[in-house]
Amino acid sequence: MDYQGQETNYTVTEYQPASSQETKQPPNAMAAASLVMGILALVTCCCCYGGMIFGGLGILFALLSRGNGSLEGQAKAGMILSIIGLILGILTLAAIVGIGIWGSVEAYQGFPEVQQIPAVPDMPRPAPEDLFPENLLTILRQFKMGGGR
Amino acid sequence: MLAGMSRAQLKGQARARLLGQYGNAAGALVIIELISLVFMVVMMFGSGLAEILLYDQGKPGAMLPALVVALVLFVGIWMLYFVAAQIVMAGYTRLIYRSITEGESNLNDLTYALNRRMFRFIGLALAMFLVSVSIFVVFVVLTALLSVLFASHPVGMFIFFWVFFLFCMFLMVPLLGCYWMMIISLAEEPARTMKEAMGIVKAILKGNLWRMVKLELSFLGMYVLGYLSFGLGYLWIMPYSLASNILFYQQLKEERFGTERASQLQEDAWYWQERPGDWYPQGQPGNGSQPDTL
Repeated sequence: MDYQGQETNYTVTEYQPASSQETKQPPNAMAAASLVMGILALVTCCCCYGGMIFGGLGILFALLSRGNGSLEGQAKAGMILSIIGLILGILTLAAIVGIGIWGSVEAYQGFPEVQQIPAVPDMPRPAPEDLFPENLLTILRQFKMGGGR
Repeated sequence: MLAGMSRAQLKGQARARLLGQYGNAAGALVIIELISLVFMVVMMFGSGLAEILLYDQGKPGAMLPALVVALVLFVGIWMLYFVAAQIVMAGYTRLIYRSITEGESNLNDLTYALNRRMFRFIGLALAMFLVSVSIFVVFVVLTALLSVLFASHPVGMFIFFWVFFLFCMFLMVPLLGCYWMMIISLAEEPARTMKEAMGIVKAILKGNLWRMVKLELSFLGMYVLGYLSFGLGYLWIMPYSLASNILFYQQLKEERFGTERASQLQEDAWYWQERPGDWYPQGQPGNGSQPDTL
């Protein structure tokens, strides 16, 4: 049958695409890469971005390395190290942001004179000539008035 | 045989078949990204430079022509980029298709669409682009209208905005899925027309749309990991996602037609003529022999 459901006169020859068992199994480079990424994630987790980048890649490689079966030893180790590195990286980033905010608040409270700074007063509105170059202003006026000055 | 496999088994098959093929798959994506980067740089700097060179500060009214030239240049280069992107993405689909069905691939596959009626791919991408823009325009207009109506209820507006935004995003998932099915169908068979491909995709997706949406959404976790790795992970996620989609396409074809389609056999024969004795995998019936009849 063809795709429109009509009978065709083809003699169908069975074609099986190459499966993982039939093709030569290469050494699982993804599992090794996952382990390397996991170690790098753990080492660089204090740099926050390092932990996130390597941790994310490590988990990804571990998941992709398993093929149809379960995780290999290297991939398991890489996965665990990557998850730890990723979590530590995120915690480091959160700590840096938190310390930044806390420091700002402390600085604000520690200097009363900062709180005494008055709000920005209303500024006089600049003339259009000060904002735009002469040519652009001419063009805009032409558009607005339907002719030149 | 892929028919009857669960989603997890299908994805497992995609992972297993891609093992050892990631080098070419990720390398091809790097090439595509570099091509995009070159186009972006030329587009931004070229149009900016044209504007600077053409704009004569001393001459009144000189800015408008400079702006028009820069804009025309920008749009022209963007259109070239659009065409080039569709060609290489069709080639990339072909590369992944060959990786998981034949167990081998070549970076030359990236130019697959160039001499195989590339306007099919460009037309399809243009249609998808127009549909996406239409959805976006409807979203913006409705949001603007309702923001006026809900002006006194910011919370209601906030809730509406996110619900509507997520709805539009969710609407894009099956659309993108259908788009990729079409690309896969066109990349599978060089002689296939748009009408034929549409007929196949329509036939196989009948009653299976939700399965496709679930398959697409099952990659969300991986996309988050790719995002965490600052986009580097997408070099490996994209082949995996595309391979899963290709296997899903083949699975639906098997379930719908019972066996490989006649056009698949035609393609097999086309390859067989080029590489006699090298077509069937070892251990398969008919190893090294031509298909009986076509």
